[in-house]
Amino acid sequence: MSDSYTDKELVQRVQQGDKKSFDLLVLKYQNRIIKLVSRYVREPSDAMDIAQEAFLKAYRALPNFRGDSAFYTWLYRIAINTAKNHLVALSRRPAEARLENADGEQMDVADLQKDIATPEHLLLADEIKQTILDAMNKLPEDLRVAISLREVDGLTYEEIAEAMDCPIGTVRSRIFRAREAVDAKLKPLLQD
Amino acid sequence: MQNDHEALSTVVDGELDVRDNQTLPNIAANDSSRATWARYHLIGDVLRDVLTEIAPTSFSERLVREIDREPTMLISRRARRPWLKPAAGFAIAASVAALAVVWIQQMDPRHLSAASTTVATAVEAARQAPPIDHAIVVSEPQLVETTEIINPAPGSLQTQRRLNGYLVKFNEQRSSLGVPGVNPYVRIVGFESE
Repeated sequence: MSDSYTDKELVQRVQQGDKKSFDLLVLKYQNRIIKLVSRYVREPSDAMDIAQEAFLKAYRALPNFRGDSAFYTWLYRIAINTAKNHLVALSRRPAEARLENADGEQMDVADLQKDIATPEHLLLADEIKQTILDAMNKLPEDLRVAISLREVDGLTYEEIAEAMDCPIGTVRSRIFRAREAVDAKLKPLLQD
Repeated sequence: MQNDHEALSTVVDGELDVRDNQTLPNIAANDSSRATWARYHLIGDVLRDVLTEIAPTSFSERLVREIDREPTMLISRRARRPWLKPAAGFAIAASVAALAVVWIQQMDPRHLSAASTTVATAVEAARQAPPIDHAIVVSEPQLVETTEIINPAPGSLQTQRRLNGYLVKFNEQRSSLGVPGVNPYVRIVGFESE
């Protein structure tokens, strides 16, 4: 995927002390990492804990990240190792899930569990998916094809321009307009 | 605003212009842009069907709080040059090897001075030789044997002990840091000199 360039830029900014750039990496990959660790643990709350721990580990290890592999590949490995370690440690730990920060301080994650384990959150997740898919179906064909080629097939703007026989600027505009149309339906759901 | 969001959409796709060094910091610094960034990625995740659970807002907020407690990284661009570390290692190894040559020469002056004088004489002979016509085949090289003994300078025993002590300490320190030891270099130099 061509977005590794953006990741590289973000990683370099974090390495130069810009913590907010790491927030962008979290927002970008949080759902993918949660899905990844969900393959190892059944409980959604455990998946959230492990994903959080993986991101923290990644942040702490970022000074050693040289960019030999893509950031997501590196993060993916950290998340898998964290999930495996969690499974190993599970039998030795009390049942109550807790996280430790760098100082060994115990953090209660009950509030996080409360956020994700409720029927309201599960319903919201379904609504979000349905809203996005409905909005996609209502898009004009040229916008829908452009964003699908980008998001589903992972094509670059140049490749999409070639496939759709239009200039790159048009591709950029179509993808943006598609996102804006879907986002207009999505945003009200996430505002509460 | 529309231009900002269009630029954001371009960054989400990794199609950011390499000369554009403003858009990313602007997104990172602005709460509204960060929220848009998250929603645009959420749309992509749903379309790729990679969603099982949707991270609640508290997920990233909590991480931000945790990361704020972490020390700030300040890695200079210089420190990220991947070739710098091996180059520094090579420089240290070369320095120690050179030091070892000097040390070994002083340890066994009879043998080593013979060898080094042979080389020095050959080099000097080459310098004094007339210019070579490249069309002519060069004659076979000849070794000039000398067995002149160079007596160690007064006080060199003390210097040898200090150098020896220095090398021992240096090796101990390198070993404790988990860096490949210097002994192999010393052995190689010693072997070749004999």
